Amino acid sequence: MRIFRNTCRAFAAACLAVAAAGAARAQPALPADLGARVAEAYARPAFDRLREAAGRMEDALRAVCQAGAGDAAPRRAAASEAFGALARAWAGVEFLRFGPLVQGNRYERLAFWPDPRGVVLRQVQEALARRDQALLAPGALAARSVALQGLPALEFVLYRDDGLLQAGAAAPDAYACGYARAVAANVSTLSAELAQAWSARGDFGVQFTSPGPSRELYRNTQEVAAETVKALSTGLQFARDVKLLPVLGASAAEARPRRAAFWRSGQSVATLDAGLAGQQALAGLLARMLPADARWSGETARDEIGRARQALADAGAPIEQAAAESPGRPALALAALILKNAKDIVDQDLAAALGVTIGFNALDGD
Amino acid sequence: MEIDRRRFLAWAAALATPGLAAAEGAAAGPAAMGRDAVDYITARRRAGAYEAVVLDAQGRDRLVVPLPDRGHSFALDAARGRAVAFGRQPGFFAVAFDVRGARPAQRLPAEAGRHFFGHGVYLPDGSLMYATENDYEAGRGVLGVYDASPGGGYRRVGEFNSGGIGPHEVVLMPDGRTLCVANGGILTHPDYGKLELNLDTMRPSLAYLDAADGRLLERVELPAELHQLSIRHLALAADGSVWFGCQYMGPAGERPALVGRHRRGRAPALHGGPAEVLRGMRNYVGSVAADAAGAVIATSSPVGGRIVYWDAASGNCLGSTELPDGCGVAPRAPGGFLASNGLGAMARVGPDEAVDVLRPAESGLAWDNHFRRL
Repeated sequence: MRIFRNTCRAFAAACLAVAAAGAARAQPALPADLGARVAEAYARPAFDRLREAAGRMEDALRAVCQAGAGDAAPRRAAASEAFGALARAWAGVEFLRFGPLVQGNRYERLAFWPDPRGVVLRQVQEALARRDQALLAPGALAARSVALQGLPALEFVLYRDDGLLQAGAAAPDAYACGYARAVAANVSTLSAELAQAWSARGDFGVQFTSPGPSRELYRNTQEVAAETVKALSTGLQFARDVKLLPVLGASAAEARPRRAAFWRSGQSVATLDAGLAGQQALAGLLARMLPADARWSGETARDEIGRARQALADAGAPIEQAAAESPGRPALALAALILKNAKDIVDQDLAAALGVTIGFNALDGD
Repeated sequence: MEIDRRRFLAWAAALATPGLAAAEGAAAGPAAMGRDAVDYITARRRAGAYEAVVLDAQGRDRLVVPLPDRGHSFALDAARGRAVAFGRQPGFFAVAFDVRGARPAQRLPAEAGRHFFGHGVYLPDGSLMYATENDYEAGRGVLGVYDASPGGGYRRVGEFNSGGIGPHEVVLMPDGRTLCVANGGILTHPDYGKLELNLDTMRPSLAYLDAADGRLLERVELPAELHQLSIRHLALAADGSVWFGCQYMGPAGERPALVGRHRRGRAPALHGGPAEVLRGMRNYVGSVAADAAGAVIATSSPVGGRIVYWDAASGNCLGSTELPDGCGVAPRAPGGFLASNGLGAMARVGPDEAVDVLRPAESGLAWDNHFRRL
């Protein structure tokens, strides 16, 4: 307990006062390697998957874009497969929105979304129309608008009408190909940076896995636990409030499936599920680090997320129909309801078990 | 005047239908309460319901105004005993009420295509009230202008461009005719709650507007490398300088100063204080208040669980008080502050005093971000 100034006056009185103000809480015994276990069991493999998926996306686009003999359809199908895998791999790290992912606008550069004003569409269309060769130079995209750099831009150029992967498309447009490959290369670069930063040799990887009083970022395991549980809580809120509810709208007539992430590529439900799978794994991981009598909180959160995933599976794809019609719509609504419950459990029970207070005012700021 | 608090609350709850304020003094008439009874105003969640509350100097409830959803801050017209409570962003309601409960409360719905950000201010003559609002389809910050004159009914008579995106707190300068707006720079859309949609291109600013016609008189930005330092909350020091509190949207490992001061026509100055104090604020200031003399500035960080004090003349850090989830902070007479937190506690605090708890933490009660002195 650090109480500047007041400390020297009446330490005991101040402590009592702070207790009366609601701070009296015992710090649970957390394993000292909590950060290391989160990194090794979840974060590092997830960022490695993203890097690998980005590499496969580059390869698949090279095949699509090289005008060769034979049927283009299998090459397009393989590229579409690669895009889906890449989007799902992104969903697996998207909720780890701290540290390297927020440095240098990496999050926005990888996925400028949601985009209610259609910035990605406008800027990519403009770029394609202008056929600016400078944009295609290696590394050039990194200095341009974030909307041009990431997965939503890549999805658009692949899946728009006459997009590179659309069945009706004739020979691939050379500029669109060059642009798609430049975006994929940019995603690869960013993913490699993230994997490196989280690695055992990366600066963030070191800070997260071995907190200490002299460390700049995390002073103790408690702070690492707080970062992790906040990411979980925020991720669940994001899944419900940003990914699901705007799509569902207030009624079936007001459903807006094109508000869904990755609707063009048909990956809306799959990416939502992939993100929840990651959060489920993380909740389970945290549960195993709690003392036996507190483990239920993490296990309940984990199981609730599992129920939400089941509801998503019941809704079925594609989201265009699922959002507006039975049985998809009620299943998605149920998923949203369960996610709310899962977040409440994380905020109230799992966070408390980890000695983290998620306050009324501190929670989501203003 | 001492009354049984539990009886009062039960009575208030019984009367608390939406849009109707329940006043402790109503039975005896407003005059019976005395001026000293209504000192503070704040918002809270109590037993799952959201309310605006008028309190006396001891932190006791004097008036409870039900709100349809979570509240935020207030426009205050102390001379006429009026206030407007705004919904927390994205807020689609405001409620105007008499702080002594002499008149029924009035709901002010948000204009079509606009939502409230949670702050507002009256002109000293009570003729107009201004509210920070989001023109969310255009992604443009505005000040809604409302007719607060007798018989005006708070009709929305126009709007001004706020001079930036995401206007949050607005204060009236000592001249009584210049508005100072903290444009947080963060683009939001109510479909996505408070999610930041432009972290890469944020450009927060302080904007001074002529209250008569909305003319932009001065616009101040921080250095370009601090473009993710969202300027959110404001307070006026005795010398007329504007103190502002910021929230940093960049990586947690970067710890820019979060508190600053601006004087018209000059460059803004940032004050970081000791490194440990700055670290303890966790890149987040939730409210800013000046003490009664305008000599000490208090900045609260609910994320860091502490209130940090600053000397308004020198910008030196005067120390801090630990208050878990503490955000509300208001000046006390003659000096020091009253602070509140999300755990239901309220305490006398200040740079040179031990924490003196007025109301201990209370289950089911959470005081909201802003605590204002009438």
